[in-house]
Amino acid sequence: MAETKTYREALREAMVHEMERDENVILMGEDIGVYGGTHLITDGLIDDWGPKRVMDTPISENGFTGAAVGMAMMGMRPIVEMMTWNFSFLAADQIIQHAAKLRYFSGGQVQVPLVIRGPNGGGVQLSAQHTHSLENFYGHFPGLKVVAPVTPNDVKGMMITAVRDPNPVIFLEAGALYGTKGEVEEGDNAVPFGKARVAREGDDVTLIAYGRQVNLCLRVADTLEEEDGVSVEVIDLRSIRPFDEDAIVESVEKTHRAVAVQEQWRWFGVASEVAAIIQDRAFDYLDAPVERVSGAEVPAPYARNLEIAAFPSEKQVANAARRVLYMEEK
Amino acid sequence: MPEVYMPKMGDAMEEGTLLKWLVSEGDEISEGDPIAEIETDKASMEIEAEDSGTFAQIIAQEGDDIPVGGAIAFIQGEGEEVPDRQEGGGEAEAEEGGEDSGGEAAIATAEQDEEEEGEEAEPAQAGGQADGRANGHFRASPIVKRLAAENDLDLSKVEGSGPQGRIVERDVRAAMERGDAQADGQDDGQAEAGDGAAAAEEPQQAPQVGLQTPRLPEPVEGPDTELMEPTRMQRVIGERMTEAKQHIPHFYATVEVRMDAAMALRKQLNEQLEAEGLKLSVNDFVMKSCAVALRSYPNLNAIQTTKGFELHDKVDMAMAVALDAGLITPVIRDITSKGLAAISRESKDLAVRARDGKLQPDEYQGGTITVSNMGMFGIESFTAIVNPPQAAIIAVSSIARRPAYDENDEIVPASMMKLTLSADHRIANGRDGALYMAEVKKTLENPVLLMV
Amino acid sequence: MPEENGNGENGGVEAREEGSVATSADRLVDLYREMVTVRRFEEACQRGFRQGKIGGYLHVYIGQEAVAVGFLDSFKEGDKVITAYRDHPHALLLGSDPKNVMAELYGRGSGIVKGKGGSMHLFDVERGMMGGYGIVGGHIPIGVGIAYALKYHETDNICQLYLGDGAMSQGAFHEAANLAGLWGKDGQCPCLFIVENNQYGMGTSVERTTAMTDLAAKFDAYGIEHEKVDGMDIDAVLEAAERLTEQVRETGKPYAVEALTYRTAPHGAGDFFEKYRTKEEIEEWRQRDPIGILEKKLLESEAADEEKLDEIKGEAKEQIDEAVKFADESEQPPIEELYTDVYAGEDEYMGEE
Repeated sequence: MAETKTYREALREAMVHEMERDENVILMGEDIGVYGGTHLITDGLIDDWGPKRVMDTPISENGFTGAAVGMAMMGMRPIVEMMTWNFSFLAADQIIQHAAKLRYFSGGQVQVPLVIRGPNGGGVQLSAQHTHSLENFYGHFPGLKVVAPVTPNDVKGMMITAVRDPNPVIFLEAGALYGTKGEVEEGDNAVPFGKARVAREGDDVTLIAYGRQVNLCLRVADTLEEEDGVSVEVIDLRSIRPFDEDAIVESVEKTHRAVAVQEQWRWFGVASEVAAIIQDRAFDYLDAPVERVSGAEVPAPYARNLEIAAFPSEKQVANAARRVLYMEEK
Repeated sequence: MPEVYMPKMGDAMEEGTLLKWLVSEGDEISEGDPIAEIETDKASMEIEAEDSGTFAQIIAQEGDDIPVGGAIAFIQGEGEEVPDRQEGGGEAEAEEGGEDSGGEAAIATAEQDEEEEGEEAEPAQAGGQADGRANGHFRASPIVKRLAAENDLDLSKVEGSGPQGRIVERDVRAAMERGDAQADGQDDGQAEAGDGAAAAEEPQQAPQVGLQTPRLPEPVEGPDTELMEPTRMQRVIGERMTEAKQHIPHFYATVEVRMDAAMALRKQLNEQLEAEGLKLSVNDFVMKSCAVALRSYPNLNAIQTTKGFELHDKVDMAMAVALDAGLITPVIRDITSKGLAAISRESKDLAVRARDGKLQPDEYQGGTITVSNMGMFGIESFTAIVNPPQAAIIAVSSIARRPAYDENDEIVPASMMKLTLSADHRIANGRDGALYMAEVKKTLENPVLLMV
Repeated sequence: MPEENGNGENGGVEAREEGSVATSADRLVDLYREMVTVRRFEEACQRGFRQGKIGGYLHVYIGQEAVAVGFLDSFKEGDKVITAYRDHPHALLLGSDPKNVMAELYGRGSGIVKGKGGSMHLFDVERGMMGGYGIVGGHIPIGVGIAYALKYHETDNICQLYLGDGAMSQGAFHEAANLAGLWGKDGQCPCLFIVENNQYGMGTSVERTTAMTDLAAKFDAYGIEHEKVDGMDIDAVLEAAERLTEQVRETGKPYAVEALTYRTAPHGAGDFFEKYRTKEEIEEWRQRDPIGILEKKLLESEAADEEKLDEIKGEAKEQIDEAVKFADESEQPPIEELYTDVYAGEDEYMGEE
């Protein structure tokens, strides 16, 4: 059974599903209760669950994230909302120095079943301080799990998995896509971490992305098929840590060409990791160097035209694909 | 630590001579720096460092012959160590050892001997292709190298369409479909099978047998003699010509062409081109005429492949250029599409650079027919040996003033030139050759046809 | 008092009867034993550090013993303790075996956290020790969250949250204190903040780090009641501890107590030049050494004689010597341990071994 739902509805459904299942699951964050959440993800939930399960916090990311770490160590399963991931830098000490490492430096005595979720990435003219794509940043740290679902079905299924995971999970939502619709499985549709999704099958070139860039890649795939007669495979990584190396390798062994697309900056990004994995494990299958398409190396600008230019475009991705296919760019 | 190896600079190249080191041990070098001059069968050229670092160890000495892929030096990257390595390299020694034992085994019957040699030759060839270093010289994508190794392809036979001539998957797939990228070992076998009994009768090891014949006299080594070893290039030319002469059933067709009209047109054109500093040669006219005439006789513009002769629409005309140490055949691509002026410019440039040893391998590989002109030496006529895997070659002699008869049977002075076609009887017959030469003659005698 | 709190064999902490008077002679002797054992342990650590047996950072509690000994005397089963990196006594007083604690410092597989944390990260979750933490102030929000969870799970336990004077300049402290005060309004944050004010954050005195040097009063800003206690006087600490732990337990509201104390040892074992304070100042505080004060009290009240005290010191020495021997003779952690405990659950390790 599947129904068409928005990304927002699917996300909320997952959290409610888990709150019903386990009373240790609580929601906390800035303005998620009475206000309804800046992005209305948690709208109305305080009415159903009360302030103990849906907790408004003061504006103190480090404080409430740290408190959530303490709660998680005690067996609670807090889902912390970062109003946007941009504010998570304030809580980086708690996320990186504490949540990620506690299990290790306690010699395995504690676990931190914590989910931190919120909108990630740009595209809605929020400019420099409110536009980051942090998959690589958090993906760098052992001890964290990092996921970036893009479809409504995945956002639900991965949230269910995240809540049940005994580790801190960085749940990066496609902030610009809360209103997008898609088929969502009813009930428990837990989606495992570490498994990429083949968003489209093809034979000639593999586009690898995550988050909203997956949708861009799917549009590019249509264009390439129509205009250039190229068969494009699109892989939605959706899980950054753990990372599905096999899916990438299998695809590249088939297509021999790959383009990694990311909204974040080029240097030290997820796309670089993708390229490294391909050269490491599928080198002998490559027909061209792996291309990376990334955001411009600038803080995100405000003006619409500048912002659009700062992110990967369909044209850039299509031309990168043409380059690895040794075709004329357009 | 990166090894500097003898690069494979042409399809027939098996070894090269290290002429001169341009750097010394201990020098700091950067990628792209010229480090040595080498001589191949075709040309001498500089080789460039493929890595940066300290030029740590020279393995090959000046004058050494090194097999393709053999190490000649080491470049030491940061934090790396120079490997403990005997001079000359273990590989070369192993090879010599192999030959020795092969020689001892030759006491057995001749038949066995032949089999063994055949067996040995083939894996060595295949090994060379599979070896990343040997093929590494050809820019080729990893999947291409993998396909080449899996399918026993010779990448030197594949034209790359990627950046800087990189051979990419589509190139090698196309070559596999055409079947013209098989490594030589297989090449021979298939060609034989395809050519039937006549070809199969030819002795496979004939050139070696010929060179090794024991009845040669010992050298006199007196005061009035000089022992001369053929240069590498000469040796290769010799081997290839021996093979061509023995394998290709040549036939010949000669025509005498009256060149007055062509020379008049040449004079007229050169007057106009003088301002541009351009001077058309007789050979430009000849080459263009030979090429244009091929339109009707494509079986003379053919390449012998693993699956038979492949006829080409485009004429890539090789021109023989004499060098002090041998000869080389740079190629004018798609010559029929080019005007006389362009042909003239290109042929002069190629000839100059050929003599300077500055040609790149892709400039002297892959012609579809050859023209050899000895007109400048006052030769009345000569015949040339077909340059395999091509099917035909045209020998151009000098123009001489001779008495000729005009329409009224009056004796008139005329400028006459002989052209001799040598062609491969397996793809063309005498009639083709004769008609083709008649067409060439007609074109040269009515040179305005060249303008069409 | 819970049985497991006191384990004479392990921690040198002996079981006591609940409701005993702070000044009862037997109890004071027991507390003396604890303080001496902690002191002996820390001295052994300093020696181990100088011998090169202990690596990394090493922070000892010498001079401050009355604070932890006094407050942990009021620890109840199910209570939680969290502190920063000067954490050895908290583990020992909760009953962790000095052998395993010393082995941790020696980087051995038999260490209390398998040799993965070292001096700054002692955990003994079973006994309520929720960890030592290396980032100043970082553990404070966690402690507040632990307290919240204790109430969320409807227990009557509390969290003893130890912090230093230096941590009170951290944003994490202020954010966490604000949360504690807020949640405490609903009785949802049974957290006892114990400020171990030893006068210096590393080498910078309180006066040089904040204009408002009344640290306890800072809790006013967050609606948290507070008081000060003489951290060198075990009697005073015991009294405050008993009263305040019960109050927090009953109300579910946080409370803050600033224990004035002094670290007579350097900040870290690697600090040899104490340029920030004078020898005279240290000597002055040594006159108020908590062990010295208690010794005097015991002798004056005839609760113990010199012989008894020597006997206790001898036993402590013996116990710690054994711990050192155990640590020294223990094996290093097996190399496979490098890859364990990164994650809970199936993917314990996600890298390449």
